[in-house]
Amino acid sequence: MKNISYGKKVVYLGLQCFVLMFSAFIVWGMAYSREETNRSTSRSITSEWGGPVTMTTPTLGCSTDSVAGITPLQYRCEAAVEAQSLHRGIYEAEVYNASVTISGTFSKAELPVCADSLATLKLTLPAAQLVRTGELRIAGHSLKWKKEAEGLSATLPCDSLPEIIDFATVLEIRGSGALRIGSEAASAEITIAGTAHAPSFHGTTPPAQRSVEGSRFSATWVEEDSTNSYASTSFLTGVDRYQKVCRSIKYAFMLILLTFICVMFTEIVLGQVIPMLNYFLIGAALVLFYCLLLSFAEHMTFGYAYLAASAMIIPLITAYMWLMLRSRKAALTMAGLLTALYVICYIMLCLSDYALLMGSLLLFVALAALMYGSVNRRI
Amino acid sequence: MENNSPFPPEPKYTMRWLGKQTMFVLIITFVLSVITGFVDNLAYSRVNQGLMSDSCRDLITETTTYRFVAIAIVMITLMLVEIAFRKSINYVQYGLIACSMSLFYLLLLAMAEKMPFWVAYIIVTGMTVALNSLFVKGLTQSDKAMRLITVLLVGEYAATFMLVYLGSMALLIGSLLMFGIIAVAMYFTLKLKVENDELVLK
Repeated sequence: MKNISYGKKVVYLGLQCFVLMFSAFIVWGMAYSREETNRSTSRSITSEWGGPVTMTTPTLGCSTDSVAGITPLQYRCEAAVEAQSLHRGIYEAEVYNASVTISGTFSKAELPVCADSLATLKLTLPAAQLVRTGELRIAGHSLKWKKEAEGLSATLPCDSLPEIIDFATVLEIRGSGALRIGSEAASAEITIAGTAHAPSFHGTTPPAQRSVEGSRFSATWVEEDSTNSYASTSFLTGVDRYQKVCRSIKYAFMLILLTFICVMFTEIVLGQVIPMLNYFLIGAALVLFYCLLLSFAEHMTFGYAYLAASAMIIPLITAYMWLMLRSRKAALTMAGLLTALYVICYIMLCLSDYALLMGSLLLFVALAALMYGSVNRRI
Repeated sequence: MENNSPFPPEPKYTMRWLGKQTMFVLIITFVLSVITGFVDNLAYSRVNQGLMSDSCRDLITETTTYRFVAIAIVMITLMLVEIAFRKSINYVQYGLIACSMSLFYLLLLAMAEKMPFWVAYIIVTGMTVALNSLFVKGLTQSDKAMRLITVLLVGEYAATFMLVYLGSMALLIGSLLMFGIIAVAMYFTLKLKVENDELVLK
């Protein structure tokens, strides 16, 4: 009874780790399939509302000519975005309404001579997602936009145009995912502002000014003499939480292994035998952590879900160790170890650049602790 | 007769036995849940052949998700039954019970092709529960053990059925349920005591 062969026990525990990793793999599969469901649900929500909007810079050209027209001298665009969440069950998608105010000037000198002396102002954007188009004021005229398959156009006579042609209009569009505004002009200033859950700013250049305060955000891009440039803001939906869960499962093996080693050392130090079944239950609780994390993450932010899941699992294992060994010291050591491991895993998840460094340092510390623990003991 | 022999009988339910048995139970659960995974692939190919609807296949895939947990719980309970009732159940008999639980999924797939899913589920549950209860009754000659296994199996299959139909909330309720199950299992292993080198369930 007293001379248990620990060599055999280590081999058995290794096998147990393998079986437990198989169940962790099932949890990973669940996270993956739920991510797919979330994606397809939010796709079906947004397909009714409208996808990402890409709006080009207005161009002025000849109505009969298929050649691209001239770009503005000056161009200002202000988009006021109001984002809202649409829910279907536990899945959500973020959609927005945007009111876009455009103004700017063209130079008449750049405009080619048109055959029928009619010029056309063209603006490319998904026409199906236009809610309302305001009237177009251009060079003293007041025109109505004409909807076409790939955008809007307005035609005006060439002869009465002044040297500097100024224009202004307001458009209301709806969409989801992203709003992308072209900024091809001699001098362009694009502002995208409003309310959104988690905006992120892209563009050919980073924004000159940006601010995010609570749900209000604002970003301004300033471009000079640029071609093929754009400013863009994207609005994320909650898919990244599944990727975080999947990434955290990568550390499951290390967590189970270190916990098992700690339990085995407790067993050796206290001289009390802990059956394999109890090891398995501790391991199963550690795998269950990921299951709880995945299910909580769908109802709250990832940080709170991580906190709630670890606040359930750590007391469970600590209480189990306490009642099993009747040793407060062993239970507190276990609680300390588990807390430290979960904190380190969380930090590794947040700082993915340092994850490898931290992981290998952790293994080094674990190895050192193991050597320290076993140097004066005959196992 | 054995009690009259000069040496007391060698204790069977030692710590070493428990260790070996745990490993055996885990490995057989692992192997059978890997094998049962092929029921999923089979369901896909049946859909491709036009023998089954997509929604039915989704329900079967959902059901097989819980296979590892379902088999492991029954196997561990059998181990505790063995200790509590002092009736030995050998490896082959463990294997047969685990096989019948794997066969549940194949039978479900076969029946769901011919009738609505819930009817098939009830019939297959009835078949599996009746078979295993009678088998355990035969093995242990104990009504109490039989009732325990019957209640456990019915509870497991009812919980699986509920989770399958709950849809998106299933994960939350299922993982909270698992938390409860692990806590109960921990409670039972705490009652496992060693007396004269032998395990007893107090």
